Amino acid sequence: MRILFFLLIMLLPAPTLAQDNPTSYIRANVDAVVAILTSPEYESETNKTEQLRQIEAVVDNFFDSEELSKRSLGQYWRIFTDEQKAEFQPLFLKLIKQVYLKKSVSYNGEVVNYNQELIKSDTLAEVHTTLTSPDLNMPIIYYMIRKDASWKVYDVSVENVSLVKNYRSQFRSILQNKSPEDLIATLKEKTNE
Amino acid sequence: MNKHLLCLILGIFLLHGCAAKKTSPELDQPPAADQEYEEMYDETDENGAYPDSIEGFNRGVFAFNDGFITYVFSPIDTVYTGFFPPDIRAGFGNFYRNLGYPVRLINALLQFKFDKMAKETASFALNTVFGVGGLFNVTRNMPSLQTSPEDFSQTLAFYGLGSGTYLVLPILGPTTLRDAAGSVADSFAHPLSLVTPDSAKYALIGHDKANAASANLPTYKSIKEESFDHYTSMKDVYFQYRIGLEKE
Repeated sequence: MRILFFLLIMLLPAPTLAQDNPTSYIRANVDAVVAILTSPEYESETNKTEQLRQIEAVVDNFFDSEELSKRSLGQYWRIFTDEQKAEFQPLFLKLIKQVYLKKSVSYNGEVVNYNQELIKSDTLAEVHTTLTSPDLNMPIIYYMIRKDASWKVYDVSVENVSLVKNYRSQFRSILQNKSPEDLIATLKEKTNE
Repeated sequence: MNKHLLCLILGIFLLHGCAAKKTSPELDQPPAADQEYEEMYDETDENGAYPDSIEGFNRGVFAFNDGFITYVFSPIDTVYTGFFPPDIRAGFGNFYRNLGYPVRLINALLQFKFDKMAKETASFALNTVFGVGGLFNVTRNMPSLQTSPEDFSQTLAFYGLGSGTYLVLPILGPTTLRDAAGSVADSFAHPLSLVTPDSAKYALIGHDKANAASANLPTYKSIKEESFDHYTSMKDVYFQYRIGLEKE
């Protein structure tokens, strides 16, 4: 029996080192995106769509879509029905990914410095970075959560401005007068679905 | 001069009323909210929103400013950025930032932030001497000299004054009562205030502001594009950024 148990553990997929540590998780993702952005393979205009698709594949698992949605809706998360939550989450993730993609294509040789890693608890962490170029010094903080084997990002703050808090302010002002259905409709419009 | 003083006194007087109304952070929590999703907002009211008692007026001015940016400032900016390459514009920005050193020093002193005073002084000396009068930011790559700028509004916050209501000024854009009063006070300590004649002084101040606005224009456009409610998004960015500065 004990041997069987041991064998079972051995068969479980081992979490890789990169996923174990918040900073290396961010670093691995950022490096992968920069590698695609600077690859000569995508120089020509015809390959730009392919380049975006490649970046999107990397970014796909970068964010925790449930946590992003929950925290951005704040107290209004509760008035969403399960169906509305299920509809909202992928749409909002798509919007965040669009924002991220648009930012990344303007990449112009900036260097990312990893300054500090704060482990808040077993499941929460912050990775403090600075984006630098000759005329820029921009602090970026990644807020991370671990629900299973891997850390994921649930908020990003740039120059002390948190993405989630910003959307929460907007959603609050919208949902004071409108229904969750209206918000989902606007979100669909924004993401072209 | 008298007009400025009047604005300042009026501003501080108005602020007092707002500061007194501020509720304690515990009361700011929306009752139905899950604790774990509600990080603390320092300047929020009982609805969890930032103080904006003249929202109708602000939205009107905001719409005017947005039109001004789109139809007046942007076309001028296209010519300006076409004429001056990025390095030159960054140089202008560095020069004006370096020149604002006395304002940052005085306000760091008023808040007993001696560490900041030392960093500011070292940066100013190095950038003035080795950065050709501040045109080059030679301390940019020195992590030990990096610090966030202090201003009089942050000094007032340090002594416990609340932000007062959000305010959108024509052309000048988002501010709060306290920030507006602080900017007026800071302008007296700024070296540009000593420039004579007045026409040269206002031309330089105007160029400083326009050059900074030009650098921020892409960010403004992306916020507009990515937001659901442009006005609320800008207000939130403004407060988050300012509160972040106050904490440092």
